[in-house]
Amino acid sequence: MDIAIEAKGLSKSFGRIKAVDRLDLKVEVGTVHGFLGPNGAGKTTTIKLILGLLKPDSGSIQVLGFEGGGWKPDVRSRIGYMPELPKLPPFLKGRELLEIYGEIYGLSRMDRLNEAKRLLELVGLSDRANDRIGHYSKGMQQRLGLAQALIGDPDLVILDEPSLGLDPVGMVEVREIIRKIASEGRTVFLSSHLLNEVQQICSHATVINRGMKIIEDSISNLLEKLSKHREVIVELEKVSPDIIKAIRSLNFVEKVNWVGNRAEIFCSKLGDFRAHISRAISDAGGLIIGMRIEERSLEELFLELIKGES
Amino acid sequence: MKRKKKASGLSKFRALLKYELLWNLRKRKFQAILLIVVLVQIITFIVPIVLSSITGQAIQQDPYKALSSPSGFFIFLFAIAIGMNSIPEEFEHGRAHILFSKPVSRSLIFLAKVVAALIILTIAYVILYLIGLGLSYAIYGPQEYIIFSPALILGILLSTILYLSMVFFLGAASKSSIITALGSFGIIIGLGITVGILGVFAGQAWMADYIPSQGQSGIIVDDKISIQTGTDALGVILSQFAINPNANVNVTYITGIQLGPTPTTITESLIMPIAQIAFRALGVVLAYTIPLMLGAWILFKRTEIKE
Repeated sequence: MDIAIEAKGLSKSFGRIKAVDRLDLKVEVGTVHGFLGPNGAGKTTTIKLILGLLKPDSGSIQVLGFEGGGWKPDVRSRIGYMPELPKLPPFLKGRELLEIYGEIYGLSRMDRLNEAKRLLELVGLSDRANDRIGHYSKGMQQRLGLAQALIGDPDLVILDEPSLGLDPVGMVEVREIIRKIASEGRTVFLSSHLLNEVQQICSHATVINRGMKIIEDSISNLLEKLSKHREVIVELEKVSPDIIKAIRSLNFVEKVNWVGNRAEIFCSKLGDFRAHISRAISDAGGLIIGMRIEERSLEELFLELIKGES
Repeated sequence: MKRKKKASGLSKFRALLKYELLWNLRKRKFQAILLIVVLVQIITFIVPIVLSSITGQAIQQDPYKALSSPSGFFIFLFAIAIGMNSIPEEFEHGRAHILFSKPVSRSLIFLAKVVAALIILTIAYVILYLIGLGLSYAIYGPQEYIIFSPALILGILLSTILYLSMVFFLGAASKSSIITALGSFGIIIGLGITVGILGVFAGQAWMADYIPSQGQSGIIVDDKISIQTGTDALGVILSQFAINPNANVNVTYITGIQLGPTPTTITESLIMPIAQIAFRALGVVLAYTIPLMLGAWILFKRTEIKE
């Protein structure tokens, strides 16, 4: 598997503050890689190091096979970047901005016009193409920020909080655009504080806190690995001491909370234990009305990880 | 991974130049200063007409009038209007994040900023010159040596580049429009006052020729044309030098002050070849501009986007 971004022991300090601390990061080509962490975790600093907007104090970074990250313009020609709440030149029109950036990427006049038109359509700004950016709303500037990141057909698209400042409809639209970008074979590296968003659109994720990596894997593996225990909710017709005893006697049961006729069973091992629980309850003379596994969201896991780190 | 077609340096430079030109031309600050300067230029021509009608004295013909403007503080204002935001605003408004992430070197971005400023200044000065030329014809009669007007505009441009390099340097060092503007004003006014005091009280009037200023007053010996000797007047100096390279200038230096009930200035006169004045002013412009521009370029290149 080709690697789009690889950082080894990356560190960056601002005075006494260690923004990024011996960070190792690996982003595979063709993946949508989420970059998670609380505010001040070092996400934006890491992105700036990748792009060459900051110089690392120590460590190495390779982007698209090139040592040194985005310091060289040739490497940046293959990267599209949208910063957090992008600040675009208010004196330019939306179409002008994309055409000017298109020229920087060496597109011919016709290609620039077509590309600007296509991207404005993609982000839903066709009808405001000839308005000055200064007259755009925050959400519209966010969309244009996304469009400018796609100029020049980049192999790697880096998005810093792409949904920030968008209304719920805008968020859904941006997610769709990101999925579309990824479906074209591009690598997408996005930082987000919206864990639900990362869970929905990313195939992989890295979680950082205080500049250090906590965990990095595919989303499914992360959920699997991080689920220390599974929770099974069982609704019973009625509860009896035999049933309580039967459930407690199961060797994978760590804890049981009883809320009326409902049992919240915390399992200490990974796996689907519904059949075992069902048999134990039936053997104890109980009748099950309903049973489900309570899935834990990435958000819960993330909070747990951060809490653990703190 | 697929390889992309590489953009030429020229294509990138053209795009950056367009970005800078549109930015400057659409900037209200620049539009306002251009308007003010044009109005002041017109007013300076109208005032003699008004005075003439009040006093009843006819306006004297002046064939060199078109080759005498603009200079001084206008030049500094132009440099501030164009330069104070050029670098700092990219950082203050967070636009550098995107611009610096594009496949273009910072040196090329810096070069585009300088070239765009020069293009805009040239256009502005040509407009001012043409207004001055038209009004000079109308008020002061036929104008001579118009063929040397490029020397005038080149000189004014060089004078402005000196201030522009100072503004760019402060902008690259501070990344703040306010510090850049106030710092530039502070340096120019501070230098002017310091050298003025040293000139009058320590007899060091020559120093004014070596700082960005109007310099000393003088009169071209044969033509009786008033001329300043400092960098601000480089336009007039170069145009007069082009007209008559062998001309001599009677330069008056204020070397002291006679205190008393009616203080009087003590002056010294010196006859100097205009070539010496021109090359000195040019040398002073370059002596300031080259290190300041180089410094601004190095600072701009090395900047990290921390915010």
